[in-house]
Amino acid sequence: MLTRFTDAKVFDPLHGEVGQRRDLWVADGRIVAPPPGAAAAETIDLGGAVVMAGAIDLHSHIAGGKVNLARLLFAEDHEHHPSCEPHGFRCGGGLVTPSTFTTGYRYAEMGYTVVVEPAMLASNARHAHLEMADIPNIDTAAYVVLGNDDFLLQLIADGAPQGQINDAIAWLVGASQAIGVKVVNPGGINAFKFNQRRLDLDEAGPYYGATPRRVLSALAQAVFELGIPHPLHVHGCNLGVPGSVDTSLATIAGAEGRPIHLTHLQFHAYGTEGDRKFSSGAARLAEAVNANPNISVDVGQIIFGQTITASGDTMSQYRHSGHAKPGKWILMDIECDAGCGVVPFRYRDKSFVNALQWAIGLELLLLIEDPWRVFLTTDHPNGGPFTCYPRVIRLLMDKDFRDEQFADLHPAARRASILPSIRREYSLAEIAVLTRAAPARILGLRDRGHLGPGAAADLVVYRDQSDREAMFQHPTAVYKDGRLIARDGRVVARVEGSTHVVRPAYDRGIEARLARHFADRIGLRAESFRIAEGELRGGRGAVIHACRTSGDSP
Amino acid sequence: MAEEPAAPVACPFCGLACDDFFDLGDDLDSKGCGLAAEGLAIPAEGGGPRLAGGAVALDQAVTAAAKLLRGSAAPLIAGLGSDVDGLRAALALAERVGATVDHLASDGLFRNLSVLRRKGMIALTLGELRSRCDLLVVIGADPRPGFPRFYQRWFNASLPAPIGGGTRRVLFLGAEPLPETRADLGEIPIAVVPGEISRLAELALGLRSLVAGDYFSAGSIAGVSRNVLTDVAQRLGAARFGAAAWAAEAFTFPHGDIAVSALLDLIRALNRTTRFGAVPLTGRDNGMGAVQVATWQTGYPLRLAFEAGTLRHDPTHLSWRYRLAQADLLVWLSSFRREPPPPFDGPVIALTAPGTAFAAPPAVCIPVGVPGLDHAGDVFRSDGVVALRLARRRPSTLPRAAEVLQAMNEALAC
Ligand code: SF4
Ligand SMILES: [Zn+2]
Repeated sequence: MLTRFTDAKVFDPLHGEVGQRRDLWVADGRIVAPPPGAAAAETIDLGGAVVMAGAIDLHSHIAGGKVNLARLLFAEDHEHHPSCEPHGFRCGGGLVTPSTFTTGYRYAEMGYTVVVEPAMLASNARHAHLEMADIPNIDTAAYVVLGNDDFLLQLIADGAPQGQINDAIAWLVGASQAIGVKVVNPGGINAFKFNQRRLDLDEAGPYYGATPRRVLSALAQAVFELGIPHPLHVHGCNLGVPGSVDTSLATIAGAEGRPIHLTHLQFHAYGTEGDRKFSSGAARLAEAVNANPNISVDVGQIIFGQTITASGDTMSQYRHSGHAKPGKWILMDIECDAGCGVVPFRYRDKSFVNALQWAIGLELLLLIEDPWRVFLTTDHPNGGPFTCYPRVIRLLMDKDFRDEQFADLHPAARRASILPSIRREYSLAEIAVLTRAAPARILGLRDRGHLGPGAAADLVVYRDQSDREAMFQHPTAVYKDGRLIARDGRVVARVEGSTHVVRPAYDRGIEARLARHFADRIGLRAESFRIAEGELRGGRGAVIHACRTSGDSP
Repeated sequence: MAEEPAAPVACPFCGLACDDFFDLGDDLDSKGCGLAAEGLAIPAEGGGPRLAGGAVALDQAVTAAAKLLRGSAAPLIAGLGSDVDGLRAALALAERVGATVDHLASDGLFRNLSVLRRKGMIALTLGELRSRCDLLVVIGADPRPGFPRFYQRWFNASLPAPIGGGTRRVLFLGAEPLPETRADLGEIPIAVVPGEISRLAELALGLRSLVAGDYFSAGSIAGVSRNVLTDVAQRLGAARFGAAAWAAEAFTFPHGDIAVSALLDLIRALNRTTRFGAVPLTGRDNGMGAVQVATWQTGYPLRLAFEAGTLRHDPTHLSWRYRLAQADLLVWLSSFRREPPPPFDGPVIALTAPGTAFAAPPAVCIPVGVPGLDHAGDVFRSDGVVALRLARRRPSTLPRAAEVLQAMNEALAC
């Protein structure tokens, strides 16, 4: 069926469109070129409304073991935020740990159509995929977390050639059905299992003797050489620690031009200046990001209020467990593979540290110049719930609003931030880059994030309002693969999403060593661990994205 | 998607989900595991659906069930022994008819969960136990009967040495190990500290005080002398990566959850200086899967009710045992074992493994396939982290519980 959307004000940065008014044609869930002479079965007049591609969140903890543990631990969230949808879309609830149905609906209502779970443990991957299959209305994907597993650390300790490390990583990406690779506190989670409580970038870890720097470079190189579109997704060392800005700068320098993505950079951007030995490192970091085109970042903006932090970084979560609010927390060591820590937390604007964290996130978003290399995230739920994105968009687009909010902060935090001196306001075109075009590009999702012929017909229609929060909170219409799923910020249809993966090639010679590791250490067969294509999305399988071959440029 | 397995696959009959178990072909052997042998004895033929004992076609049984469900004001869906798809279908049906949902083994699950939700938890998975742990403390009655291959697969002398070195030791706190357990452990040094397990909370808190170096004046606790307690505390503190395993289902003494809470306090104290974690042994009949699916779909781990467009959770008053007295219809789901429904004052819709013996013929009885024998499916292991894919292992015409529940749901839609 051919549908014609007339008079759209199109923001499609990939094709250089910044508010041009034109018609859009959709057939069978895809954008098509205007078909000469063909008559549309349906015509929808948009009357000059803003149209963008579906938004893409490249880092949001929505599924898998630690997310479900967060739901369990923080039942209050579900008691306070019940959500029974109309029309039999299934009940659920939760604000900072929404249940699966609620997750899909709330994202779709804001015009998001693809969300990446950023911390899928290989050993928990089947769970993550089972859960993602129960998230309606959005597409999903996941990064597999590596670099604290005893298998790769042993390979590194043995001085295995990079090719072997590549093969192992490719196997793990395929077996866990991932779209990319993330490393969390490289080597640190493993070191914590040996009772080490801190591990710096150039400090040799226990037993394997590998420094985080070595682990990082082995993984970044592997991801690059395997041609996985998304660069290594790095949750660095020393999260939340004053002085972490130096670690982050050293990590950028240590990348030596290799592409890496630094995630929730706000949490790694703290200096040690001032009376309280806690300061903003945003300006120094932004300068480094601006100067190094191989670096991309997402911010991890914090939102004042109650949330819960769920992270693979057991070392840092244990360190912060004393700040749990309410005072309860979970810690787990997992399968010679990884770990997880869940700590509820309340960010307060009257707290110096929290207020400065809030300002640091915005400083980063505003000082990093290239919207193609910086992404809007709250590291949901660690900095706050994803439902607050429209608020952050308004903070970026509206200097007056930003100043108003800033005025409420803890006074010492106000003195410590340069935020009021930053005049920049994002344009709609830049928001379209930040929230769709750029994430699609950095994930390698070639048919998402733009509105050219062949793209998925994930369309979001907005009423152009001066209150940008209201505008982005409640799009007037959201289409997923050509189907209307939300109207005026309320979900109107339930559709199945897809799961996106990559399948890097590898030499099967690695399988014997992997099989031995599984038999000896994990006590399972490697084949039990591997997730078959037919297991995904209730048997519908995955959408497979191409890896670069040696000829392509990154 | 029913994929025929190319390699041995997991066993569905307890929370350990052993995957070294089935050989290819029809020659199913049970590695000396009594539980698995029982499961394997479930026939592949169930005699077909029955209404009050009389044979009918499946669609007739589904129609009759839908009629009962439509007429019910307070249905209870319990047992809940099924794979992930079956659990999804059970929750969807529960939402449609406004039912309460709970799992057969939830008493044990909730002793741990109630603590997790009040205070949290520090835990580790079976793979960490196998490859990192140097001290295993088994708390209370030996869990071997419910987890027959626990030591055989996860902690014994024949496994490769723990990562980073160290010697494996085991300490039984509260009860003697079974003779079979001693055989499974092999050369591992075994210490046994008998005590009154019903006073486990006191025991754990006493140990916590000693570990933390707090003031401690008792001469003995729960039948364990101060000297022995001091020695135990010292051993716990000396572990490099310790694990405390318990099967909370056996904590049937009053306030078993308080014992779990005290154990967590002890484990937290130990983590100030070393690494230690809990290994809660649960998850029979895919109970961990039921907790996981219920939590991700609703935010609540079972003991939940869909009522007039709302969702309610109550860990006490929505337990299936408690609700039996208030419900007017029982849907009983047990696809991993031939577990008949409990005595119930009202009509029963039974979806059970074939060959289940009923005290009285249920209003509707639909024999369903055993996941992992008759059809593929997913189950969660006891630690809640690892999910395993079960495969179909034998020719079977038995329907999947998920299909039957979906059919009932669809019958109610029109
Ligand atoms: S121990 Fe449990 S999973 Fe293993 S074979 Fe026996 S019943 Fe099956
Ligand atoms: Zn994150």
